[in-house]
Amino acid sequence: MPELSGYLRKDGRKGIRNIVIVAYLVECAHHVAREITLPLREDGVHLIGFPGCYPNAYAHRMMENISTHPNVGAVLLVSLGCESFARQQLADSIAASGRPVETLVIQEHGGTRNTIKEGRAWVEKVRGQLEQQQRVPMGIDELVIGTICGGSDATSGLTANPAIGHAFDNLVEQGAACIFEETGELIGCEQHLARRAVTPELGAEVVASIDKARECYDTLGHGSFANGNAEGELTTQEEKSMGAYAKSGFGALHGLIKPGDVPPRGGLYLLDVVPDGEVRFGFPNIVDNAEIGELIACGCHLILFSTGRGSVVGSAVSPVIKICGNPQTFENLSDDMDLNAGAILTDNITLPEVGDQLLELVYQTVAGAATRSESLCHQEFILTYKSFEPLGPGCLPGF
Amino acid sequence: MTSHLAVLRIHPNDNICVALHPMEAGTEIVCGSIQFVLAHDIRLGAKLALMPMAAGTIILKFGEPIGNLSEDVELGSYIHTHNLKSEYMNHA
Repeated sequence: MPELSGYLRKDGRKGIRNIVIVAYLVECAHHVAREITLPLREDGVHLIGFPGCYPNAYAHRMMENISTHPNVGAVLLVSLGCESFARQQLADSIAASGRPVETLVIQEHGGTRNTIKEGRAWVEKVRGQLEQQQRVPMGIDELVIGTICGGSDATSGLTANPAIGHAFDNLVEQGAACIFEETGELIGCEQHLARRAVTPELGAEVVASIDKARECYDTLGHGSFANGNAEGELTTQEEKSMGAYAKSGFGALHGLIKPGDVPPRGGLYLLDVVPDGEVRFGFPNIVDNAEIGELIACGCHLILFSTGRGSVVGSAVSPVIKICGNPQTFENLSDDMDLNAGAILTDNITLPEVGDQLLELVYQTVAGAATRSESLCHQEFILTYKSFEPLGPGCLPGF
Repeated sequence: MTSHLAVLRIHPNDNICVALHPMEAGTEIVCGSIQFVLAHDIRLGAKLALMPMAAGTIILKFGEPIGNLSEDVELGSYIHTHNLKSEYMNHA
């Protein structure tokens, strides 16, 4: 049994990192916020933000959840001044969570140069405070772990995704909450998944969420299928889905959540990332990092990212472990990959053995070891407009 | 000694197998009791027909339908976007 530890927060959750985030509240403040973080990006100071000037309840909730994520120790908000974002409400929520928070309004602080100077000074000050904080013991049942696949090919469903499924089954058994997502990549698997739901009502919610994804993609005229998938020998959406589905392992499904919902207890959860209602605001998940951000808003301490074609991304706030399914890709991009699941195809190593290697990597990452994307300063973040309705009554059985 | 399968029939009901590494035209493929010779060079992950099949046949991988054939294929034929169509969605 690994001995884990984390930074205790006021709400009882524990973080596996203790970072400062600098958040721009409109694209017009992006440059200033980025300039504040740049000299400190190797020192646990990450950039997040929302570009739009129009208000959006989903985006506000995402910003609030990520600003009060257990991996976050302090928050600097950077506002231009005239945007619609409810900055005082956000600052109040962060302060109520027990975190140091400061808001700098560029229009009230003498512009770009002075705001950058003040921002850097504030961040340096709180970094000193955060460094004093000690880690405390943490159980596996306090971990929330997300998974995503990006740049999938025909190897993803043979090696990396089932290895993640193996790790997920093990982590859930030990009490962790594990979240998989992208209902658009479960099209064709809905009946299988529904049978794994702990209640028939949850099963019906799962089927409805995948139907919603199909309707949304039909309306937009483009599914979750890229040319690169076909170059990687995936032919149809349902074939890609079968491979993606393997990330969920074999265990029972305990709930269906939406972006920003933190799992109420351990178990396996499906995150529905496709907006509700009439299709508007464009594609539901314009790129993998939009979904990673949503997993983090659900409290994920770290992300297991499976790739076949070879994605190099990481994320702001939570470490990303990259599991490469394709041995040729691993050879090309080994510096970016944490685990070569493609070895199942080329070496004398089995799927459960690679799954166990992944579990070991999870524990090392929780303990503080930097993942490849972390050490390369990959801190991608993207947030766009969406709208969601509240969860249906069958989504979280027992709650 | 490392011994590696050239192809994998993932599920016993599958009517295709998957190439576990890139292979050249002329390679002899053995998949259980089924044998054929590759007509073209193929990439890792390529799907190959395990029997002659008529247009409209549903292709099974992982034991599950992944689309239907738009043309007749022979034993060993390469199955991809040129001859396999989604039952769910169409992509350009």
